[in-house]
Amino acid sequence: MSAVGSLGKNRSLTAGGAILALLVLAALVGPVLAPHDPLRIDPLHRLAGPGGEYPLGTDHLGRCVCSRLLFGARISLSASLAVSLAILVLGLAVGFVAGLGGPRTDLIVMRLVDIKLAFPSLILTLAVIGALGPSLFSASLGIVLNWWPVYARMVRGLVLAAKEKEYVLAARVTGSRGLKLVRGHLLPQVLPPALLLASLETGSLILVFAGLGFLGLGVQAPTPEWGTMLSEARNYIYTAPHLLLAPGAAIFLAVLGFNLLGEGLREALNLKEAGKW
Amino acid sequence: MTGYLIRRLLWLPPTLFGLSLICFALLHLAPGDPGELLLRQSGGPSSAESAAQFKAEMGLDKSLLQRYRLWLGRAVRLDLGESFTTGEPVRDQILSRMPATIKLALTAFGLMLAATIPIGLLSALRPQGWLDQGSRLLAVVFASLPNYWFGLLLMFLFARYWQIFNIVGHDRPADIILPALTLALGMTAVQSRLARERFLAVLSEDYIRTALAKGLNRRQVFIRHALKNALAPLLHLWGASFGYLLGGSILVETVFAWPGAARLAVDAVLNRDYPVVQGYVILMALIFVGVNLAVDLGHALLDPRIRQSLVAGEK
Amino acid sequence: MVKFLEVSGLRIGFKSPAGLVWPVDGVDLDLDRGGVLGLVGQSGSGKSLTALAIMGLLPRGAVIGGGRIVLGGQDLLQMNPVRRRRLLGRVMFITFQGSASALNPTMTVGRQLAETLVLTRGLSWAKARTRAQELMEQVNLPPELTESYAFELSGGMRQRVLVALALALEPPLLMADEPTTGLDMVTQRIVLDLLAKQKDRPGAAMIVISHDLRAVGLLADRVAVMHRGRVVDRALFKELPQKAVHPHTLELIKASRMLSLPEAVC
Repeated sequence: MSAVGSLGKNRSLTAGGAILALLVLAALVGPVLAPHDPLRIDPLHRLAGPGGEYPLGTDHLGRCVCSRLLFGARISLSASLAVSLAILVLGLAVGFVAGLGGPRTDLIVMRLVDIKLAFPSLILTLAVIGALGPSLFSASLGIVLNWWPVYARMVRGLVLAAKEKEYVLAARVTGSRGLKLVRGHLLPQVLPPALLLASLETGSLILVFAGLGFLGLGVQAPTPEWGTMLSEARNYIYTAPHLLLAPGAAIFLAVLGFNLLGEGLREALNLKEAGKW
Repeated sequence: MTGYLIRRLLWLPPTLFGLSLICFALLHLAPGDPGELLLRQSGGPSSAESAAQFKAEMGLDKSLLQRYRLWLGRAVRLDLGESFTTGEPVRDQILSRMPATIKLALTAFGLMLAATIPIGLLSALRPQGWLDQGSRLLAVVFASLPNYWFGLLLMFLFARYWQIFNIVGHDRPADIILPALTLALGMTAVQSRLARERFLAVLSEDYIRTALAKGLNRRQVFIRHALKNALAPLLHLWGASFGYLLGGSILVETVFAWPGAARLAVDAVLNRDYPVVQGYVILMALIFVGVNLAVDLGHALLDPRIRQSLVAGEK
Repeated sequence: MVKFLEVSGLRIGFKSPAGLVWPVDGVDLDLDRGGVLGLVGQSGSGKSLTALAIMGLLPRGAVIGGGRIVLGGQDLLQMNPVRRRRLLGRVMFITFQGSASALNPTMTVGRQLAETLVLTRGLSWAKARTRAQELMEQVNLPPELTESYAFELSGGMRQRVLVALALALEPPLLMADEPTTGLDMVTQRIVLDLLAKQKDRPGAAMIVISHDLRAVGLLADRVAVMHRGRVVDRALFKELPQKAVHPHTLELIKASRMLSLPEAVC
């Protein structure tokens, strides 16, 4: 049975892929579908229930929840992907330094990574935002500065493995050195799996982004963002509890999509366990 | 094996040094002159002259290195300065809020352990059984569930819809149940899978087969042979998870208006009250270092290879 | 006469991505009380799996695809699992290769000996501890070693502790899986001599599993040679060189002759 053959039966992969496709679609064509301007205030219809003109009701300022949700998909997805990319670049740099810099450099860099990994990222992210002041930029920077060790460790492992491949050894013997070796022989080996793994981490980034938004430390009002919407809904938990549902469910589904996809891919690529006696 | 603990202890100073650098940098390298900020916050005079005088008082005219030395000297005595907003010593402010945070994290930790060990073990005993499959699915779902949303839903259901717990209070023992449950949920999902992996690995060891071959029953084999051997690596995972529970309390304390140190820190970030944020990070770092040390000691106690090298070292 | 142990047509399979594979594919064995059977073959020939199937300790994912394992007139494969488990340590026992993982790394070897007697024979802890020290002496180990952990012992010492476990249990059917693998020549001899004493117990039967024909030769009166999940040759040990038909067996004989010292059995 081939890996491709097993993909078809992989329910996690299918479900995750379907959720993510829906999400990307919402982010792309959301502005067209949105019934209203997400920022338009309708003081006469504050905290309206779902139905009629406002499919998912309105928030405390009378803004259309459905429109805000659709626009929020753009923000969550693009911010997470941008941050993911920044982390990947930083992770690639550190990972290559550790993987190619010799055992001493490797030891020191990996120790730093270990120390950082052991320390709860959210607390240090909070510290960075504390220093720079709450904004989308400082939240992103805080996340980048705290999440790179995961990627660095992964890249280092890939580099070490790629370094021992025969044709890379051959290239080294024939005199390829430094950047030429990295660009010509190592990067093509390391980048695809690193990109794959990085995209799977995006789920946890969405979770953190929305969490920071919820705390008021990320995206600032009035920009429509799921976490911020949830934090606004919190004040009306008794009078308009339906406001809790949509933004929370959106965050949950987006993260679930990425996590299911990751679980499914791991299952599909890891044939080792099935073949092990 | 020799010197496992010593090696671990040797990493303490660099760890603490690194953390101190981060904390110092956060306060002193932030955009905007801290001295100016401080004056602005306290509503004091803003003439250039008085700002310079103030800077001299605060030692802000000195070089970065000198400032770090001064700062470190005070930080090791836990003199963390005064809050910009209240003027109270940061240490007192945070320490008065700490018990609530620790209580919440410990309760969540206890809940997590109480669920993790049986779920991990039972799914390891019957891999691909209903519990294993179910807990695998739930692990993905719960790990994706934003705990701040889950907390709000719980709050609504219990307090409003079923009217069981009163959310506003924090004094009765029952008040901790919902926040602790919220905090523990995601971590439990992940940790029970990790525990399952660990138990599964130990259960396939030769000495487990030897123990079964000797005629011990499954319960005896598990308690006497599997548990202790699975525990040492799990200890490290649990130590790390405690740190993440402390991190997660940042969100959960806000959801439930829990009067803990994490909520104080979030408010401080919103108010640009740097000394409080910094004090919170330092205290959390100290707790984190302490927990890791305890984990290393616990591992040494469980593993005779490390324990004996310690005894040999003392002789 | 009814055999003490009779294995017939035993098949053991594993699921793999390519479907079921059969590392043990129709094995027949028999053993009388007082007899010692040598099970010889390369690693992967299915000999250890056969032994594990007799014990009922097959690894996860293994399925028994057919055959019978009859011990003392009872088919183990048809037996109620709870009753079958009760045979372990009382009617049969197996010693694994004395690698570091054959003994619990976090429990002293003395305690592992003593708990066996306490939990399966109902001895008091005090008596069991004394008995553990006696057992250590019986396998030529200093009794103080009861206080050591597996990682502090050499491979030969660990193998002897496993033999001491067998002595503690005195099972009617004892199996030794690769008892001499990884040991130096002198230690091999010590371990084999200790196992040889085991077979003198009245009514005891033994199966010695090894890839080394000479090691088996010191103990076994009969040998079965396994290759790719089947028994390809079986004979009295003395007659094996004459009766062997399978090329794999001939190769094993040749290899053991080349290695053998003048006083060795082959």
